[in-house]
Amino acid sequence: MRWSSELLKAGWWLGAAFFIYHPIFSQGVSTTVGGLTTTPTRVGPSSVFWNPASLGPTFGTIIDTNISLVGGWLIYDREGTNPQTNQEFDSSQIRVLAPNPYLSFSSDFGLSQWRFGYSTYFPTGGFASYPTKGSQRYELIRGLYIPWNQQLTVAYSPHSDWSFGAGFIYSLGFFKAEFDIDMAKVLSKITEGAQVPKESASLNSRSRIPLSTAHGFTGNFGILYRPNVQWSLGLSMVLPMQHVFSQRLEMQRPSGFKTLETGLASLGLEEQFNHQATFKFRMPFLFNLGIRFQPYGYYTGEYYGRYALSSQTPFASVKFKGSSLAALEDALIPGAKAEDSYSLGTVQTFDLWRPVQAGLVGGYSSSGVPEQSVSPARIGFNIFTLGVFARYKFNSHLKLTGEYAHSFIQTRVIKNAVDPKSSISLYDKPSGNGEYRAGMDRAGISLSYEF
Amino acid sequence: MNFNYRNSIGIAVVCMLCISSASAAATNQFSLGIVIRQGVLKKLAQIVNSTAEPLNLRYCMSSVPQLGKWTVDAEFSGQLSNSDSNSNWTSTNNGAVLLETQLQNLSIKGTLYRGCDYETLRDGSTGDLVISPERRFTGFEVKQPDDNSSIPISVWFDPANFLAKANYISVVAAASIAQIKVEDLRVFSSALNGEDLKISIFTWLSELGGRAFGIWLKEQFRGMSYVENLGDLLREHRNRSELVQFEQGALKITHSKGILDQLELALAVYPRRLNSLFLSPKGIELYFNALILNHEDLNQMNLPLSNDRSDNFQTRVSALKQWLGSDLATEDTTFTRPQLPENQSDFSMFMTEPLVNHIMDRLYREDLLSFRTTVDLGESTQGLLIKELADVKMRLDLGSRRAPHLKFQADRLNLQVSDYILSLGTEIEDRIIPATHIQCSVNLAADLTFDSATRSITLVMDPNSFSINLQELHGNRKQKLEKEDLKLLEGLAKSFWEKYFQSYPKLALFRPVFQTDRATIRPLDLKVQDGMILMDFEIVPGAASK
Repeated sequence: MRWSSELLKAGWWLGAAFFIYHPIFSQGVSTTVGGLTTTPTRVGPSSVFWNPASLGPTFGTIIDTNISLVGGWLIYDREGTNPQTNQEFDSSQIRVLAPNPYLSFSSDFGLSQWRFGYSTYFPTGGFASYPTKGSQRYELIRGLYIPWNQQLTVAYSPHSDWSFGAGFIYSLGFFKAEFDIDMAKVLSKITEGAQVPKESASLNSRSRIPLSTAHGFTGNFGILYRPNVQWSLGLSMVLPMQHVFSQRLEMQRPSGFKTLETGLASLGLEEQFNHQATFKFRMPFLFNLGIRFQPYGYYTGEYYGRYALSSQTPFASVKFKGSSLAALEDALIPGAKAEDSYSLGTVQTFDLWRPVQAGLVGGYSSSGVPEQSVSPARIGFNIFTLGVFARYKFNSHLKLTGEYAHSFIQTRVIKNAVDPKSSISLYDKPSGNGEYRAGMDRAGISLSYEF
Repeated sequence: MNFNYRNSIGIAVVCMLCISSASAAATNQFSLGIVIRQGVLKKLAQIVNSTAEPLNLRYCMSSVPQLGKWTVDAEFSGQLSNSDSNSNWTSTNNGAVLLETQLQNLSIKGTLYRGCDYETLRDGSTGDLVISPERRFTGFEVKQPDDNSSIPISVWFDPANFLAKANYISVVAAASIAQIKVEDLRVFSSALNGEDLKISIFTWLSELGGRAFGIWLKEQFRGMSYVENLGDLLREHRNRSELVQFEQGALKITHSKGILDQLELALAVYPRRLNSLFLSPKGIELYFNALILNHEDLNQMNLPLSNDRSDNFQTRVSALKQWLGSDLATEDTTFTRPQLPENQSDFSMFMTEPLVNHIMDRLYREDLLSFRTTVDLGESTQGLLIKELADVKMRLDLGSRRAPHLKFQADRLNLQVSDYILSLGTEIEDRIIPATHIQCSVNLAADLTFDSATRSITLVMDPNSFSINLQELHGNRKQKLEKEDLKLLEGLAKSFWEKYFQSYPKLALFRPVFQTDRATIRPLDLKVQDGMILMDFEIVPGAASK
């Protein structure tokens, strides 16, 4: 279904958001996998997603954990008037408060040049719960897409200046969704010429994709170059990955079809229309580049850039394999077009006194969703984030970091949203035109223990 | 001469003329009337003058002293004055109307035959007069000189019997002007134009002329007593507008032609026995009884049938015509003479709300119930919901025996269909599986007008005024339809019926008493008061537009 597709695209977008440094509305949707201060040049198991070579300079066994609370809101003011009331649409609003845990450890197992690590984290994902009767219901009412990554990392450091790393990532994806389908088009065909009202509650087919899981595999590679104490250079690449969920889509028969129920039953159509489909989420290539500069002992500046090659990987697609409705039999909904996105950021760290560090983080991320592809289920913003953090080193083993960031999200007014091309004639869907506003805060705490 | 009104006439639907069920008959009686005003006189003159066809009369003079019977075959023609100042009528105390006008170009041509011969019909009854050339006695001609002179005429007219008779002064005036010629007895022409004999002849001719005028006028009023099959009217209407089928997508309304062909519904109209005529300065008021009967009603009336005729609907209609002319048809409807407002229209027709609704009810039961609405689910959903074509249809049946009801409102009629039951079901081959029942209340503004094409009193629906309210009748069953669902169905029904009424806004109800081919009747106004509707009309002389 297109809605499913949209949702998947949303999920993908949320995934993309992870890469481009604008966490929003979901656990793990963060440019800060492992914490607010992780970068491609940062050393330690908390940064293995950004650069697997970050394990190279470590010694012994380390456990890094981070738990963040991401709170965000989004308001969608749909363009136009409600066809049922002829008044402006009510705002659709989401408020989310979600935890984002991270756990990793690494060890050299007594070897001088090899390091091994394991990390578990949620690199991206999204979930949302919109008003059931909101104007966005034909896009999304509620749903989630969460990839849970398990990463095995190996790093090789042949020389004190160079480290090379590679990660094997197994991702367990979770996906479910709920949305409405407006069956006015079906009724229009039956009563050709009659003015079938659009978006009537009577013609809503509440559709549901039950919780489903899928397996995904990918990997990342990285290099960390530390020629001296003052300079570090990190470079990494994350390979594309996809989750292919094979699940049924359950469509409830609209209540307005009750008068046709015996007729529909005679046609072999039950009260629920069931479809078997595959929902494919794809993530693009991701490139990271980071530079670390420590001109003074009490100050460290890290600068990074990230680039997601999203234009080469469309948003999620849907392929129907079996359907109780003729129009969906073997139907394919290709993913909508995305565009490349990037982010630029910095982490500024100050050693105030021996056990305490404090710092600032800041960054800008571009939207990865072109205007024509924006919808309540697939939103992209230009985001500017500012944050602070403080780290306390209890002893040589234990460090505790507290962090907070606020994201300033640029409002988007969409005028030219269009549906992805599709030959499916079963339904029409409102465009995603309207105004999107959002805000986000993130607070977290990290614990690092070195044995 | 001829004139052609398209008029609605009041019909008082007398109910059951049934001899054996007179009490039941009394419950179905209605009043209907026509009011003719002074303006008609001028229009009548225009209609008469607009035609070159003479007024024909073939008449048997059975009481000519010592000469036996004579057949007169005569043509009357002339021009009536168009001027209001020269034409007038006055009601009199003896129940007649005194018509005063002026006549120009009077011409009477005729032939006298000895004896009176009538044709014999198959059933042995007497037919029309026939003439035998061998019995020709002489031809005659009466002509007004071509000197632009006018003959003032004054005619006593009895509207109840359509008899006209010129008064003596008019006869004398005409005799003083016109000349008589006798073809075969020219030698007597000068003698015939002698003053006394000429007046006697003109007296005789004026009787003939008055009788011919009365017969002609009565024909325009359909004999004042007639029966017609409303089924014929509906069939004509259906054929003309192809109303038998209406499609919108998979939704199709069909009318079973077989049922329509069999529709037998007689409208009988005849004058009231009492209080049928009122003369006043406002005009001539004529009141009628009317009756709507189906085959079953006619069967119950025990009408005397000719032995050689089969017992079918037409036979009974014929018997009904004869019965209406007999003294047995004495039952009058309960009648309240309406208070007629001052009006400048040529004529008005009034009918009661129960009459219109009675006709609606009968038409509904006899005709509209044979409408069938189907939704071809199989065809319309193929490729969308289902893969293979399936023969599955939804059926929408009019599940109520209650007909649409017209409510008379100020200056407008409102068609109300309340507590109307629609039965929804699925038609699979020869079975219908019921789905649910929906109670409808429909409001639709309508105008009652005269339709030129069908020459009928016609209900014209205003599609834009259509409103509908639906309630599901679920009884003890679980309610299937939510408020939103009913709202959706209301919207669809409104959309569908608006389109339907835009395509077919007219429903022919009945043809009026007054009919002519020589004029167009144009509705002017409609007033509703005291449960009756008063429609004002204007007569536009000339050929009727169709």
